[in-house]
Amino acid sequence: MNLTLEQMDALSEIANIGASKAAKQLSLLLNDIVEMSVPRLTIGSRREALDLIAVAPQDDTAAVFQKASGLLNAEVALLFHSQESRELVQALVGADLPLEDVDMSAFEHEAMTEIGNIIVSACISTIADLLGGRVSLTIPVYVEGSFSDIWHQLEGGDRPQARYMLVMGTKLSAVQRNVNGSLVITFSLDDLNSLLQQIDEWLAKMSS
Amino acid sequence: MKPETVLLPGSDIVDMLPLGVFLLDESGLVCGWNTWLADKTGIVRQEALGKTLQQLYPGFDKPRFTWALQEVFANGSPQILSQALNQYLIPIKIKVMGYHGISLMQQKVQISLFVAANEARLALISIVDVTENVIRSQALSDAARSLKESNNRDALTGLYNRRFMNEWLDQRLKESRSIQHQIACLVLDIDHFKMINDTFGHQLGDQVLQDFSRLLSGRLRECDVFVRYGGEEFVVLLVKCSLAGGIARAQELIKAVRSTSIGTLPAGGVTCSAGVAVYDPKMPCSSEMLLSQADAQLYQAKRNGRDCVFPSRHLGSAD
Repeated sequence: MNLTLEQMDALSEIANIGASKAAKQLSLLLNDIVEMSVPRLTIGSRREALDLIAVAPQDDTAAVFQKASGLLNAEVALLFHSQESRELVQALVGADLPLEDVDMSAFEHEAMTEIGNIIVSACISTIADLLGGRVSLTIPVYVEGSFSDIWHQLEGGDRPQARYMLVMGTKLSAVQRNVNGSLVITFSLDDLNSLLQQIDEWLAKMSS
Repeated sequence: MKPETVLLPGSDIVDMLPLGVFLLDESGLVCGWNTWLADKTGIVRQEALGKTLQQLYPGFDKPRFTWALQEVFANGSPQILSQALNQYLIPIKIKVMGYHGISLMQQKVQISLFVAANEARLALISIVDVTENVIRSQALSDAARSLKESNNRDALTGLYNRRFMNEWLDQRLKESRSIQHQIACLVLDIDHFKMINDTFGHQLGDQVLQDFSRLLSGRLRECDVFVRYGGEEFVVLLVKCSLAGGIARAQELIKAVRSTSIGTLPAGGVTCSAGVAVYDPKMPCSSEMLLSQADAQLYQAKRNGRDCVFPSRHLGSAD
């Protein structure tokens, strides 16, 4: 899908504002300096999205899912490499045991759900604020599995629909660790066109 | 002004739930407070209604909660406050004896937007008590930590064993490459230990190993690692230490052994020899290679008559 340069710039700006809002909240919560950036962004088909995410199908992946409705009707997922995210959470909560020693997964899942919840909320509410509408989100759900299984869910499970994807490659840095992730927003063509129209209107308002 | 009390649909049921449920209006005033909360906090519904959390709990300051409420009211986006990252929202003392310093109920909190029948926009906050899970998880961690600790120790001397050393050394060599620190490796061997065992019996032999370990442990830094490598052979790993520093330390240790009564043997009755090698991140090598170099130097010390260090000095060193 071809976006105009202005549309891409606007999306990048929105993504970076959302990321810095999330980083601020995470810093307060974790009492540590948390930085978050969106170095890569693409919008397009499944193939284009997969090219940006560049994760092997069998890779262990952690995901926080939330469904958006209102100004934006979409499935939103924040994807992280499982091992990286677990190491980050263990560092944040001060766990000092190697991962294989204790199954602390419930503990870590809960923390990752909250971190994902903050990032997704911050990014989606930035979109809503800038475009002057309201977006409601459902309760976050944490899922862990192979990347191909997670991707299958993002595509609509056993009843896949033609979806377009906005992928923001995120980089979260905290406690001397870098965790690379992707915020993926999937929508139908109609919903995507509607978002782009809102962005065009916002750009027109900004330039007038 | 006291806000209107909001009755949740099915409020009888809400009062029967085994979790805390309360409502806040957009100005932060409590306008719903279920029985569970009244029981656990000792604050009855009538007392809570119309007050802010700051009024109910002076000093209440939770920036994450404040932001979560803003998100809920602005966008209707539900927020999760995990126990792992927040511990608790409302300070509720637990009745059972605290474990690991846990004296307050550990909570998992969820905040959602609730639009009342009168169209008032409220934050619906639910609190689940997860204290038991946290305590169980900590007990499990403690057991695992203790098991791991005993797996890493030598039963006779209490020193670290080879298993621990292999893991530790691999990790430190990796770190050393990035922070450019040297690590000195000392391999020490008690001289003529077989003869001590054969002459005085295994019981005294064990006593010698224990006393020797205790003596050297007391002369090492907290950051150093002292390992019973096997039999009467020991390894000392000195972080941030040059070859010259390692040689000097080995000489001090050998002198201490020589001048101390060990087991029931008089001073001088037990001596040891040492080989020293150093890991230099500028010329990296594997942990096996480092140990093998130090072992080869120990062999030289034995050939040089025992009760000494090899190399005895580091050429080119100022010290």
